[in-house]
Amino acid sequence: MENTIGAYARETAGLGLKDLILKKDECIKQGYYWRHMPIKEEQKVEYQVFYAKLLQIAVNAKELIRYVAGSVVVKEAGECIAGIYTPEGHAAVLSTGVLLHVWSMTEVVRFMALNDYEKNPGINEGDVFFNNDPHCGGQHAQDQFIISPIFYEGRLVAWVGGMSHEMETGATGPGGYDPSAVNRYYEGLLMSPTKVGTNNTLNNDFKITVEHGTRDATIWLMDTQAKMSANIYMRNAIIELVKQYGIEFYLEAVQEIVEDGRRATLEKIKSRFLPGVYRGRTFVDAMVPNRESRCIQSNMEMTVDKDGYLNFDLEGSSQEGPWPWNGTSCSTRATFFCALAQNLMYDCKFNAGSYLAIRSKIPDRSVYACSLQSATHKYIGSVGAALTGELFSAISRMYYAAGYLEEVVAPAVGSISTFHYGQDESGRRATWAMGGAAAGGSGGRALKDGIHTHYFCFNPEGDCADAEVYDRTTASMYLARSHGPDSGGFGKYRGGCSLDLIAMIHKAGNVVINTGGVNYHVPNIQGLMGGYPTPPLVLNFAFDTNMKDLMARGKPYPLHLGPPEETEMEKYVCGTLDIAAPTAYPNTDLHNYDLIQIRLSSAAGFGDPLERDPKAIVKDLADGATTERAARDVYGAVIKKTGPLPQDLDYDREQTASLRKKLRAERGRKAIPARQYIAQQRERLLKGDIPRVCALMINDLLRFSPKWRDRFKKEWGLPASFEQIPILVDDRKEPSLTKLGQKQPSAMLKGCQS
Amino acid sequence: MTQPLEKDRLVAVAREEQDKVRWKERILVHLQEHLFIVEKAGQKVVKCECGHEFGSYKTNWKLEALVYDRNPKDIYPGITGHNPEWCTYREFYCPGCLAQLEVEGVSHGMPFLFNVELDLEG
Repeated sequence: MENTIGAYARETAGLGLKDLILKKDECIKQGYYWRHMPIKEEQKVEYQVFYAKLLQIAVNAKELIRYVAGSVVVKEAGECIAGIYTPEGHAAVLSTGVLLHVWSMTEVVRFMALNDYEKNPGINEGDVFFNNDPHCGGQHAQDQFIISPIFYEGRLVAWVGGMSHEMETGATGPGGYDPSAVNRYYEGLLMSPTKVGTNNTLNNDFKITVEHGTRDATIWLMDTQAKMSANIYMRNAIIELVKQYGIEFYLEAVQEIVEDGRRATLEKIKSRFLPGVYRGRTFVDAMVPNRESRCIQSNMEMTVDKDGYLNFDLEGSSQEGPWPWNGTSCSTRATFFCALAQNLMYDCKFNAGSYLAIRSKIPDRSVYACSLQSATHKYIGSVGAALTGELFSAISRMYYAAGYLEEVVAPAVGSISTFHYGQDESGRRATWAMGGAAAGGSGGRALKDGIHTHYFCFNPEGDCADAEVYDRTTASMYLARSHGPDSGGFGKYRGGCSLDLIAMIHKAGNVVINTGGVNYHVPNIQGLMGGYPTPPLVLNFAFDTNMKDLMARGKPYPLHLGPPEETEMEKYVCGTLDIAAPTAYPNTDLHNYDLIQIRLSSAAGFGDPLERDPKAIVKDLADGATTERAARDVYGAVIKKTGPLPQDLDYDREQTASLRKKLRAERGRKAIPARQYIAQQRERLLKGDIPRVCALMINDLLRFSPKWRDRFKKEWGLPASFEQIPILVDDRKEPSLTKLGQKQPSAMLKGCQS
Repeated sequence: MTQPLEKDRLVAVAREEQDKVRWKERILVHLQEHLFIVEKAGQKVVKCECGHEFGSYKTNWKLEALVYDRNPKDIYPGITGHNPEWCTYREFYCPGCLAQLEVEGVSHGMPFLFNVELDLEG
């Protein structure tokens, strides 16, 4: 075989897209992406210069998307990404942004090739392809791709693509969300890869389809134009590179960049980490309005083998269901990439080559590989988030055992948004999301605390977006944003606090709202090595309020969540309140002066909280990041005042030592040996003495996964005859139908007394 | 580009930790907070820095720990806490020093998770 710079160009000359992909599949089966590296090895400096130029094109393209885009979530929060791909559609370089979609665009190109798009509708210079079908690439209908082929002198030399997250899809609920969705037909315009433009111009039929099929076509189409602009920019820049370096060099170098990513990732894993099995497990509450709530298990096993491969097995994850918390196999593969790009591959070029170090087994018809009809729009914030958290934990445990404590970080993923449809200040139809998804905290680390309100796992460089932009372009007005005290998971090193926000509807008349969120009943982000899981999301509503009167009279109104036993909303506002509303809130009307309050789910803690440095607790108290209750009851710190100011605080050394000794002793009194615990639990399982929602999930899993069933029986020491947990039909205490929460009569509220 | 490889990191960490503990068994791996895999009489066992031993590293150390089902609302009260009807915070303590080694935020009835099962035989 020829091993010179022109080898790739000559070996693939005349091949169509499908043949290119099939030929590449053969290479990958043999264990490599491209077999040799003549440019990297013989022209070291030129190789790095070329890589830097290509990378800069992608980074510029992403900024161009933001510059041209019309939506707040793309323009201000940066929910987008751009990439340059090989002729086979494998990512070579990527911008920062929504890292999930590195692999998604590869899936789209592959889908088109294997479905003979070359013959019909044809793949030609200037074509514009659109996709938002998560079975072909992406996570849900909101993830919208614009992809174009790049030709040079008639030869396919690259693909370029831009993705953005759109807040409207024409679904039964605004924002593309509807917790009631039981199949994909609730999700609005779901378009498998479709040619929507030629000669770099969007087709009129596509524009009309979007205008008629969605609530807010202006934003969709502006963001589409932004991605097309980025693709045209990338095309021109790539053609310049081809002219500068020559076609043979360009094609070869791009192949080498992907192979470089593969080799670097394998070398990193093999040289640093200990072979073994690293496991993760967490849960998702599936609350479908007016149906019985269910719990979903996410189960992950990662085997690090001696050759440096990461072998993932998601056996033991729940079966797909009639809810929107399902993912496709495409979206699951993208989730692997997103997590690993951040904490493992970040210095390995993290392109499609890095992904070749991953092998995955995703059970068919599970929540990670659902069937075509299933609804998927809440995957990424739920089971996708759960899997990301498990991956973060597993990789962190891998780093810890290998001695790289500086790389260890507890997971931080969860978020919530409320999705609105109404009018903005100018009366224009508008859809928008609130929640500041990019303003969660980051996880506690092995050597330091997580950081407050700066992180969103799917878009680590995302931004919360300025409140004033929301005020101007939506019917919501922020009353306040702040760090939520105790919203980070407790631990020796705590998770960073997440955002507390409170907003009011104004100048709108009528707004329709629903929500997307999990981590309400049960944690979906676990603590690490003694740290606690991230606390749940909090969502409160106030309807038909007296806010107008409060503001006119200069009276206090809620600016924070306040203490859990009496929120500021309960204290100050008279109206119909829904405190601790379910995070799966169905389409509901809001009117002027109604309030929305959200505490985002944040980050998990690391290590035993009783080992936290008391000085850090004092600082958190002074900063408003924790409370005296947590300082005393969770951290065992006795705090004393040292002056008149709120931040004049210190801890009492002797009393703190004494309280911590007492709390440790309590652990010894309350806990029992594990084997005794197992015996007790076994009896409960045999009698059906566990809550109904938990028993239903276990029974589903026992039916769905024989491998998990065998392990479950072995772990609990259950008899061979055991098949299912008895479900107690007369158990009235268990949650039944998910309702709109319990609205409290106005007369009971303190806010009505003033 | 990848950071420079530090192939001796594992050895360096083990050496540093060895100086801190009061027992003599050779540390092979610092498995997680408080826990080590050490060599003892030709076996590889999990041992806490306090000296308590949990048995073979191929068996889940949680089986030899103390366990307590914590009401999630003890930690995050009221509306800021998870639902005790759905889940428990399953806390694992070292029987020797009562350090909190792990917390599983887990739906009722789920078995213990064996987080890390290393293969040190190769």
